[in-house]
Amino acid sequence: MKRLIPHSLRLAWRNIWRNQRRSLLSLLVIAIAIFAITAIAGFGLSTYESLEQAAIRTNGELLLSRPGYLKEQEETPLADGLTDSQQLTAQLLSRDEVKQVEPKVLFSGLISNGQKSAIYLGQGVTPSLFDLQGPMLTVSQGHALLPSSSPRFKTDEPEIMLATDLAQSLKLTIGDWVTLMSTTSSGALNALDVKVCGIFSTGVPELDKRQLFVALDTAQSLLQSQRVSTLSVYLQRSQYTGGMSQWVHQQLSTAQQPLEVTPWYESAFFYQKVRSLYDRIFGVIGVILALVVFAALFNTLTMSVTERTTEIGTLAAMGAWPREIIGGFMREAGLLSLLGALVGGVATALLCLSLLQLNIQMPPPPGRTQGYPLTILFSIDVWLASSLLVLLVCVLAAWLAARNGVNKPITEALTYV
Amino acid sequence: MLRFNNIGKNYAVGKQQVAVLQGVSGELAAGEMVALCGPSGSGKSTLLQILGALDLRYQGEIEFAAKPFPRTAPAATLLRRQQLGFIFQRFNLVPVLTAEENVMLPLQLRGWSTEQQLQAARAMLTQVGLAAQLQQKPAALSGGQQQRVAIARAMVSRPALVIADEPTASLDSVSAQQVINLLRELCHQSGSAVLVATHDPRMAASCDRTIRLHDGRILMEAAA
Repeated sequence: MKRLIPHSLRLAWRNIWRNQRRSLLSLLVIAIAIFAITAIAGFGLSTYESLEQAAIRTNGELLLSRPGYLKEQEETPLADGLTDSQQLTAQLLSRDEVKQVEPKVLFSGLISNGQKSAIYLGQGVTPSLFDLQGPMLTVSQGHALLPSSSPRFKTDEPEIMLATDLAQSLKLTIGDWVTLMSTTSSGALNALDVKVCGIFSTGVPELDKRQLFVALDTAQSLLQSQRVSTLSVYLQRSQYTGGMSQWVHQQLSTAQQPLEVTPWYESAFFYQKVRSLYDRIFGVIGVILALVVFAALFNTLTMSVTERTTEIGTLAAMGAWPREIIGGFMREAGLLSLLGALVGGVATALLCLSLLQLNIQMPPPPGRTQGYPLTILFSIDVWLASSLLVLLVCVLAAWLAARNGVNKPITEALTYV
Repeated sequence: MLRFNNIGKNYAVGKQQVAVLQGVSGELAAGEMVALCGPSGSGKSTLLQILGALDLRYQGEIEFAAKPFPRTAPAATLLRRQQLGFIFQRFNLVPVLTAEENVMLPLQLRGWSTEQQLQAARAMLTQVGLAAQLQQKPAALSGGQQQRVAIARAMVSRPALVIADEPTASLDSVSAQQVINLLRELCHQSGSAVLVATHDPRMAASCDRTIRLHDGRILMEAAA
């Protein structure tokens, strides 16, 4: 075993423990820095992942629409809708990468209980969409829209799901009938009676005041059009997003029906803003921690170099090159940083596991009504990157500190007390 | 083997230049042990530093093995690495290394294989009477034992010249005598020239020759 470890490393190890208290303190500083970087970045990554999941659950990995649909206002409802959505859906589902395709009709208008009206933002969807929503949508009363295959489904009783605040403002409960009013695709006013089947919450107060879901054919019947606003494409894996986006552009977008393909990250504005903000915050924290480690290590190593001035002089007198002497100190710093990185990494991993067990809830973020569990994702990549950063910082500090020691004239170094 | 001619060295004290060595000349033959004596401030240490290629700023000329002495730091480092050995008053052993590892150091610098280093270091430590202390660290050794390790370290690579600065000054009389005998024995066995700065009259008496310095000049030179 002794022969497997190079002599230089064994020497570095022994030199580290010459002053145990000082080395332990340096080790602690490095470990805390690694712990802080990996824990903060882990929290960020966990947040990114949950926001990514939220964005994907809402609109799929790819959103297909007519060019400009997401940026411009339609003249009339579904004027810029997709005409051959069923054919597109069939083509998309022929690909192994595609898990599900969900057509949506987006519309707005007035909802009335006969006495009071309110503005709504409606979505015509297929019931299978709710299987994909997961925790993004909480049905607090009743049930989600029933598929036509369900024995409870009644063609003469079109169903509607209302957001909790909207239902509250209209004093509606499960089984109540309401009237939906909207402009048709030809510009006329149309109305449709629907029965409340479920009340849900999105966790976003603004949406909970306005949102509702009806079946796709109900929305098309209200708007008197067979078009759909968008197609949400859910993939087997998010990594297929780029490839599938390209395939849709090349194979499905035609001159007759040009398509705009929007990957999930381009339409997920909240995700983008949070990521941009967090990246900057974490970047600044990383730089600050790197500086702290540098200052602590430089101080420690300068003390160590000063204490060993005579030894440095002796080695230089024996003919050791300055780079060999400096190399020794750099190996010590490197070894110390690796030990610190290991301790810091283990501490973060333990914290991640503890949080999974403890289930600590975070308060709702701005613009939300629901909190979320505090989780930290332990990323090997982040740990390796932060360890490398700290290693470089430590080695640089050692190089600077040792260079000062080695530059002292040998005759002075030998007589240093 | 070593020839130095008209060596001079000045130090700046404030705005004044103080001459520490003035026109010092001499020579050392291979296998010869020469004592450098003189009171404090006579220039012994300065001459040792110059002849040990530790101080490159001096006047005069030095020839080593019929070649000019190096004047640049890299050349001086190479000379010290390949041709010189050093013994210090306070032993200057590396505290985290065992006696064996300390003796291996100069061989390591010369690029010997680990096996060769081990063999040579063990043989040398056995020769200086420390076969039982191979794995001891300096802190576990007495002053005399530490200086013997230092002598082994200086001599293990059979250098052409060994520079010893007050090697017995930190030792009790018994240990000092052991060190003197050992140094003399190894010098004659290995063929290395040894230049010893000393205040110890026993050490001076054990040397082949004595150079006595006073105020930076050679006062007298005498064979034992």
